Amino acid sequence: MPVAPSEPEVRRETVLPAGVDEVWDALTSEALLEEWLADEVELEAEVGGSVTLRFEDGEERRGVVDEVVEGERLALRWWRAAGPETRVEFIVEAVSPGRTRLVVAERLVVPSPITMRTSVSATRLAALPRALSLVAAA
Amino acid sequence: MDPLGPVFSALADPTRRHVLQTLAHGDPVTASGLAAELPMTRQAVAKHLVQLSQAGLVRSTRSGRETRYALEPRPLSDAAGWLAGLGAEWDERLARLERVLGERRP
Repeated sequence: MPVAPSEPEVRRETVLPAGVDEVWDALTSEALLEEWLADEVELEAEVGGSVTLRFEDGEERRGVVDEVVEGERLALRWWRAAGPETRVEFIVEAVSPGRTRLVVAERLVVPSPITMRTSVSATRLAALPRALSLVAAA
Repeated sequence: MDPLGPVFSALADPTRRHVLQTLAHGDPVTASGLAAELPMTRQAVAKHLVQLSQAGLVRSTRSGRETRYALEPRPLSDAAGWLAGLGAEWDERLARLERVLGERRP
């Protein structure tokens, strides 16, 4: 049996021969994205923005932008027509002039179980001991 | 429903990974048999076996009054394959990105 993976995530890190601004452009400009990520890219680089990718083999992927911190972090969730939803996070970090570290992590989005929660206000909880002592005295 | 979610949820627990590792190395075994080999009670093993079964990682066969459990390797290799595929995609993309950025040098 292969070592069982414990996390549904892949992570890659590389140092690129470009400054932070250039790398950020490469992550957010449709024209640049089309040179390395997919054949056709539509991306609205803002939270809630839509993402559409078309690949050479005809595959299409849709997504939505989750998080944008200009020049630092871009996260989006995407899914294939038949496939699980995953979340992709790019982190950009200057190493030295003209050299930038890019970390990319893609992780399976696992729907969390719906939890039932009863919320009791803090003031009500604080009143409980006194209420109980009154009942005991009666 | 997508099978990967339940598989990874099942694998997230180190105890369950331990159960799978144990199943991988031997013949089909009962819950009691597993509990004897692992540092946990039969009840704890049974709970883990339920989740592993639901994720398709373990199959059970009844013989008489006994239920024996065995590793179902396919979902595990599918999950590992899925991750490997993802990694390979990123390796390719990052190689292209590196080339594209390198070619922009004046």
